[in-house]
Amino acid sequence: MNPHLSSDTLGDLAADLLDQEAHFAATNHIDTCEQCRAALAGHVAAERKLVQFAEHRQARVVVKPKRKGLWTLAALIPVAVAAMALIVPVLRTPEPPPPPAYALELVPSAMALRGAGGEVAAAVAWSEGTTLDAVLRPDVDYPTGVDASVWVVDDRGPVVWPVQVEAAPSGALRVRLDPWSAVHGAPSEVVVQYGPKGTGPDAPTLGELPGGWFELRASVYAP
Amino acid sequence: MVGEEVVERALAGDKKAWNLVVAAHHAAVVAYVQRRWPLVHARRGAEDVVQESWFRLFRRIEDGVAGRKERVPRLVLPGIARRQARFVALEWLQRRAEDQGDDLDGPDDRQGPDDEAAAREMFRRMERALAKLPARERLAWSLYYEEERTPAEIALKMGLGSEGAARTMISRARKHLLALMEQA
Repeated sequence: MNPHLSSDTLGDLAADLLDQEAHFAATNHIDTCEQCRAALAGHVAAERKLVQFAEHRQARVVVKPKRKGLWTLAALIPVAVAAMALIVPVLRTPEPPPPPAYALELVPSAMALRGAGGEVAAAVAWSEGTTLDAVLRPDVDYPTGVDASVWVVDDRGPVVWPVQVEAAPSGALRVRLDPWSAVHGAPSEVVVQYGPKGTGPDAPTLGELPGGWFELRASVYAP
Repeated sequence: MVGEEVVERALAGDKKAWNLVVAAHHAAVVAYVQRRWPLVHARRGAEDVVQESWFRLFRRIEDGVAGRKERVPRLVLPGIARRQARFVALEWLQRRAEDQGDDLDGPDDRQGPDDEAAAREMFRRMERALAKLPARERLAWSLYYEEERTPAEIALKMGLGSEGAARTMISRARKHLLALMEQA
């Protein structure tokens, strides 16, 4: 029998994921085993990378606690965007680069998820009376940011949903969808269209993608 | 408890606010080291480990404010301090047979321009790998690493039944992510 700690155990020790008993046994073993001590270094380095990555992601989309003032500000965003739409043609500057690929993630406030059978696909549970965040993250930082239109598709068709938008300096967007209620149909999908700022139509329509715009979809269900 | 405003000021490098943050959470982090790393506590002392952790954390905040490193985005306390203490304890374990002199600087992870580009590339690869994780593993990973939740809290949030099940889920997500990164 191999007297040394397994790679899984060393990884879990570095990540502080062992249960108490296994944790004691592992640290006591490392105290006396040079080979395992040396092997631990690689796992600590990998763990450090994961932590750095998590912090990098946190820096890209900083989700601040709710503040009334902030949401008041968010409510003014459409007005600001409309005002910008009038000003931008007058002050036309060189066109920014096209937006990078964005990924869409749905984060319910109830945080209940259900696998949908696939590796990546999953239906997100959207409990009645709770909000749902559609988080759009760019593949690379895009400080210019994008405009976005959001629909919730229910069993009666697409609905333009009331949202509050928060933008991060990286170009990421957090779109908070107002609470779902049983008076609406059963939600099945959230659709987001995004594109360069100021290039969207005044009345966006699902099924008509403006030039230079992209569409992302994610499944939801009412538990 | 310290208020959000104090935490914000501490993140901006305000030493007075930082001292309030430390005072509010120090005992909890010491208790974590005593309970979780008894060997390190017995040999080096939990107080010493935690003092070094606070020192490193504040130095990182100062570096971020000065633009020498990426800013510490959030102070999720006491989670971020527990995590720093974990690394101090792990480094102590690794250096057992070597020089055990205090290394307050910790590993030299200061990034130059080339390193910064390499780090960005690594983060891009990790982002792609994370997107390939099954949804529940991704959620478990995110709650543990990004939200600094404990396995017990994650078990409750995800309806996993036990803390052990949450540990297993996070461990699987972590291994899966590292394997996907290798392939990327």
